[in-house]
Amino acid sequence: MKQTRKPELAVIGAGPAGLGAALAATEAGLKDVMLIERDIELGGILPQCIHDGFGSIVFKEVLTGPQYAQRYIDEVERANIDVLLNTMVLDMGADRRITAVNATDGIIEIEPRSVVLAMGCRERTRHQILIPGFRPAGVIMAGAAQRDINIEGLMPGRKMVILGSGDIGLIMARRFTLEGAEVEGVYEIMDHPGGLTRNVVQCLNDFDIPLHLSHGATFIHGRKRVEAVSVAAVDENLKPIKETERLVECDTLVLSVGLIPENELSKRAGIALDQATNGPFVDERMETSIDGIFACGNVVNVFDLVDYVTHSAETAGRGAAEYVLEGRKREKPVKVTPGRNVFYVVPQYVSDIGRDIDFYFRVQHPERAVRTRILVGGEPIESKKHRMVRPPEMIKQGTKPADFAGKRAVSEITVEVVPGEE
Amino acid sequence: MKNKHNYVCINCPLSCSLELTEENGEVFKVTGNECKVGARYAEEEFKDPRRVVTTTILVRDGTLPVLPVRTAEAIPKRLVIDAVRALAEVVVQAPVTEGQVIYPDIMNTGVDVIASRDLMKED
Amino acid sequence: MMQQLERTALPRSAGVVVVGAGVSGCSIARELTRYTPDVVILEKESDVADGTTKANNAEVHSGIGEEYGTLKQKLNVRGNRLYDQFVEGLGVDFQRQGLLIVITRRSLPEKTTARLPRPVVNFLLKKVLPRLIVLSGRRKGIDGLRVVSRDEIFRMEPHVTRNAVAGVYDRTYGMVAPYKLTIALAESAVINGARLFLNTEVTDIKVEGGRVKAVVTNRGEIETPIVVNAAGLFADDVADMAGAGGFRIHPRKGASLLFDRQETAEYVTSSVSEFKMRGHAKTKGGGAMPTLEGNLQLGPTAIEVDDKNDTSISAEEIEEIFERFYYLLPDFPRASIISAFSGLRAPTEEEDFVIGASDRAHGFVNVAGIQSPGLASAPAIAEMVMGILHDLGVPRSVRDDFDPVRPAPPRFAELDDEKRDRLIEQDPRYGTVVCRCEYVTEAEVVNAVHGIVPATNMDAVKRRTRVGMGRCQGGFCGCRVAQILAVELGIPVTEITKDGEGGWVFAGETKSFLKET
Repeated sequence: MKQTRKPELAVIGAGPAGLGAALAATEAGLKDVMLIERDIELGGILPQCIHDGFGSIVFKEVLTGPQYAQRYIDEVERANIDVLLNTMVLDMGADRRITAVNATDGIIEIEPRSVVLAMGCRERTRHQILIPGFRPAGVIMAGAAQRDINIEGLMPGRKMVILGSGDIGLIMARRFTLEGAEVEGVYEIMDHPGGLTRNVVQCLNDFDIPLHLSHGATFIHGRKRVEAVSVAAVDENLKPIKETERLVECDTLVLSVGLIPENELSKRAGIALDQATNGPFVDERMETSIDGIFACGNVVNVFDLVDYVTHSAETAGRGAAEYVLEGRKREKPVKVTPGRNVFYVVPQYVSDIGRDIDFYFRVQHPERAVRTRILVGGEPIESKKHRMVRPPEMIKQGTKPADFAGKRAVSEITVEVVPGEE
Repeated sequence: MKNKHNYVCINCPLSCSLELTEENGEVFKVTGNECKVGARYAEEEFKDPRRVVTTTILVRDGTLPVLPVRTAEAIPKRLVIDAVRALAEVVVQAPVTEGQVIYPDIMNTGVDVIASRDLMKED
Repeated sequence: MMQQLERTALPRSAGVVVVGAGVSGCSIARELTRYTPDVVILEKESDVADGTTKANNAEVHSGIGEEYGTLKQKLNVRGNRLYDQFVEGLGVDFQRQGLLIVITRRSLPEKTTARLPRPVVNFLLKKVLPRLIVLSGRRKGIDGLRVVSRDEIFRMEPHVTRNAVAGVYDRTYGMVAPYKLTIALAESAVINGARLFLNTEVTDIKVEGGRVKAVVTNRGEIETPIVVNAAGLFADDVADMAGAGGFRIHPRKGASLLFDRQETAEYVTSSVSEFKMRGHAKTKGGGAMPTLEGNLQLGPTAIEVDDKNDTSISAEEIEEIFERFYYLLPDFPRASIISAFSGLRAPTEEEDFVIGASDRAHGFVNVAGIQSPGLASAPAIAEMVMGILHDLGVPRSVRDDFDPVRPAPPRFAELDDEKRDRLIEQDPRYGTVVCRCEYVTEAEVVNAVHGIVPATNMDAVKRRTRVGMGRCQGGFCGCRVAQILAVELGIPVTEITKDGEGGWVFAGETKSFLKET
């Protein structure tokens, strides 16, 4: 009978979240940390994100994705962390027991004392947004196309139409162009771009790639391979306006229509999930509804800055170490409520106001000249000014224990946006 | 003859629409900016727009068939397309270490193209 | 066991040529090989089941929905009865999970319910209609039907609309994966000596002196005295080639939606459909079906089209499905959709099966117009066609060397950990999971490429292994599968297709476009 492994911590996923959590847990005193990764190497999604823009907060440098990953990979290799590559986690129970598999060890049973979930996310598919038409080859998600080009060295097509102006779609518009493919245009269903302005400028404007706002794809043509896509302007209900429909010839439709946190394992274990984020409910230490199971990175909610992923990972890693070394009985948690113009907040609960807490949140719609505030019992304890807030740009705001001074009974915490910079 | 050029500022979420007026290359004014950074940005974009170039290079005997590379610093925007064409002809031998110079002084800019990561040799 | 590769040359002659490797053709071919190994199966697409069959809804109906007295009704009832025996030895899963036929106010035509007083309508719906259905079933030879009360409906299926008035439970209704069944049937036929040729299209049938002489294809000619025309959508064209036609196939599209297994696995236990009395019922109205994999399936629609290649889905069809089933199951998790697919039924204008030996071209047997309930009728169709073939000279005694067993390839996702470990010891590629959503391993993909009926493109691999059928729809595994295919087939990955010629997946290697100019 094969021996069950019993590490102090099992981290599932070795992208920036998993790498950060494993290192933070080690630095906080854990000696037996296992890092499980299904791919052939460490880094998660970063090795394929060959563009720059990473690390301006954590390293005060502007790095490429692979450069950012390399920093953590080097550190993990120096630390005494047990790395399992090419290993897929098949199941996780509410008791934290994990079943995994790889080609050399076969089935692996793991009974960790704590777990950090760092599985990242998957991409929304064509059928989830219900694009009518045929089902030819050539309909591909932007992240998959990115992997094809930047890891496998293969071009998924020659003439692309990109649906969705989130950052991945914009980045890929440039990438395709720099590999000699043609990008006919980017079509975005909302009336504003989904990604950073920097990317609109440096990925589209630089190459004269048109951005068509308030447009959607209405039909995919081609039986064996994409031959064209019908596009149309949409009305205020995002419904296509038939008269504006036109045919765009292309051989590839690239979809950049959203990311979904990959929480299948979380569901199997019975972890409570927040519908607003599609990720687990977590508290200020990134602990989920099951004691000893923590979560960080995109599996909790889709971050846009990898630096924030790293911060959340360090919180989770430290949390796991504390859980193993000190044990902890969680106090009755206080709910964190999204207030005015806030779409969601992570963490959704606060168990212990006696520590520094980082709140990550997104606004529902753009607003100029505002303050974002954290309130306890209706009174603001933390406030920050912003010239502009927009949904694609996540906001991070922290509180310190001193901010709660004088508040004896904390029963409700709210995060809100209020107009006026003073 | 005064010319107008339009830019979108990338420095903060305001994304100001900037308009720069110039004659014979001399900048007269920039409007639309809410702060000084925006004005500076418009001038830079007009006079000397630069970009960091990131792409991949073909690799021989590596664990992966391609290696991600970057220009160590931004290079003039007008040289980007020629730069990637030049890099398309390069094949590098594994193993490679992060920061290793893959192509020195690309397009005579004085900027090196370096490896973004370690890449092992395939066994 | 032989592998059928396109590169293999066609034989000069065969005892029987079956045209079309859908579920009908493969059922007949397998049945034939009980009596003779001298069978050739010709399929114009790159895989078996690539036409109507692959988009089938997997339902093995009891026959209750078919008009009494039609051939399809008779063969459906008989086929359903034979099904357990039919799949035995094939390594294919078949479950009689039952069908709950729900009666609502919509079950009777609007014109009828509008004119009659409400208590009368209620009486009809609650007391008369269910009993009529059961009696109708008995008349057709179906005795697995029983009336269920409104309370029982909600006990059995708590998600059904409170607009339900009464119901009928059909316990002999079952489900089977149509492409898995067809692949198994084809492989069983090949195990027993049949030769299958993919990418081979029949272009003419030579008839001399009123007798079938040969089949002409895009790759050469085969002399044969017997041709079984199971060419689905193109059965009318093939029949015309032999002068044995006289019917027209008019395609009718059916679209269905599939939902995430984790969200919908226990949403319904049996299939659920709403009874609708229609004057000219061209479709049974579809239903909400839990596939054997656990995904909820809604559909199909029924739309007449002109084009035999039009398998597109329109926005209107998608809306229609949601609207129809929203009434029946008001809280089903619409947002957990993972896929939509559609296919073309191949009905004749008379809306019944055309199965018979031609009297104008001796040796030519039509098996055409096989629309629903074609899947349920498959065993009975094969039985009926065998009768015809025996009369045409195929030996009547079963071969001693007929092997009824076609072993199913191991499926990692379904095995316990101990069995998984043993597989990995034999072949470490069972330890590398390629499809994260469906837990399909590298070994299974490799096995599919080297199967008895080999998979030579992405969709063929998908049909055999379920790779790409999960929530990410191939986003994670697509490239990996393409590379395994390339290595195992010994061709560049740029030549891999999704579904046969023209469906290329990669346009070239990186840098190749930049180097072109």
